[in-house]
Amino acid sequence: MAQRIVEVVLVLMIVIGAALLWRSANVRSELTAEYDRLVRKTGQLPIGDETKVHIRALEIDEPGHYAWRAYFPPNYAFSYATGMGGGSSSRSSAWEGILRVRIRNTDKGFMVYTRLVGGSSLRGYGSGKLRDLFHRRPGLLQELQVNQLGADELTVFDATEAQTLLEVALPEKLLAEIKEQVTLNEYNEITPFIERIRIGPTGFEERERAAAATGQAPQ
Amino acid sequence: MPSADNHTLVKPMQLPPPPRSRFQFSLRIILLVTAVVAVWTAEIVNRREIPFLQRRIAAMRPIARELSIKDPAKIAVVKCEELWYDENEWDVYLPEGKFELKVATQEIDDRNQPAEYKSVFLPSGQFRLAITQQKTDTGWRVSVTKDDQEILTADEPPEWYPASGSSGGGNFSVSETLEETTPVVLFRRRFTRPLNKTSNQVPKDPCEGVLLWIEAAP
Repeated sequence: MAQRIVEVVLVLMIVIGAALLWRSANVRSELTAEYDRLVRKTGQLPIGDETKVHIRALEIDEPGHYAWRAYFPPNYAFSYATGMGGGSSSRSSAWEGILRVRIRNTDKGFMVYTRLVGGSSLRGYGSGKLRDLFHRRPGLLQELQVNQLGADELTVFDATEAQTLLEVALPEKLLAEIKEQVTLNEYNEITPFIERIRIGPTGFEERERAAAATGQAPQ
Repeated sequence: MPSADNHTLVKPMQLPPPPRSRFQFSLRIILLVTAVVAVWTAEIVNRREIPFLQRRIAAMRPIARELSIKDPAKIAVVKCEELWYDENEWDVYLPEGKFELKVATQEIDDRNQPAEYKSVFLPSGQFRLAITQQKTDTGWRVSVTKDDQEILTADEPPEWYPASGSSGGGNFSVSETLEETTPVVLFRRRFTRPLNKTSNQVPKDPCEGVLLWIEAAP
């Protein structure tokens, strides 16, 4: 008799559990399909430690076009330095989005578009001579030497660390040709990198410059 | 015991069954318990996974910049991701009804719509709008396209924008659903004016700029 009661209770638990499982499995299936669709569109960014910065490069099949999926933790106060200058931002809540840098070799010159958190900028390089040199090489974007953070794997770092997001350099053969034809200022403007973007905690650039001046490691 | 004289059979003694241990269960109960554990473990895993997926989806949808039409009787709009400098495009859905797309380049303040504008009727359905501001030989041209076809233009002289800077930009970085009774301001930009020799400021009064909005036609 006792066993019979136990069996009835177990069967009831199975029936109730199966009904709930059927419903939750349907919901999970729909959410998983939506999640997979969004991952295909925006890229995969698994967030492990929510207190750290996560950055992963997106695969883009266009020369001169670089993008990253990024996660910034809550209360992340950061600044960034580009060839054009820099900026800073801070957010009390976590932020996720896409960072983008795009380079175009146009008839107006070599243009670099940067969109990081909080704004975008456009920078053009060179006077007439440099512009002509770039214009005469329509395949220049395929020749750029690029070092992109998170290109091989997800990069996770502490909010107190500074990282180099992107370094883009012109091919050495072209640099040798340019050096003979432009002014020293123009040459220095595009070497060693035509664009270099670093990101780190607020004030990291000043600390690095101060450390470099004194020969000590930056804090 | 059978004897040699008669063949009466005697039943052998039956021993009572051994007492059942408290922790001894039938095979049926063991199978049922296994099924209960399996079903409820799967249910607990789903309950943990569902909120995680919902959080991730909520974080990713604004990044995807997809138009979400939650109510076919209402307007839906989202600004497309900017892939180049000053690129301003929107995916728009309009329900059945009469709507006008309006653009103004003068007397723009920080919240209202000016009385002077150019307009064109918009059909219902889904399409992409884009606005550009480009320098021409004679001044400036503001051009609005719908699915890459130019539908509105406004030409202004060089002094309309002396390249002194501006404030504002495009709205709807996240897909929104709106009532058709209120103007949908897609883009508001106001040009700065010199404050002194070294700095510029957006004036408090209405000024030159670009305003693009959708409004229900009377």
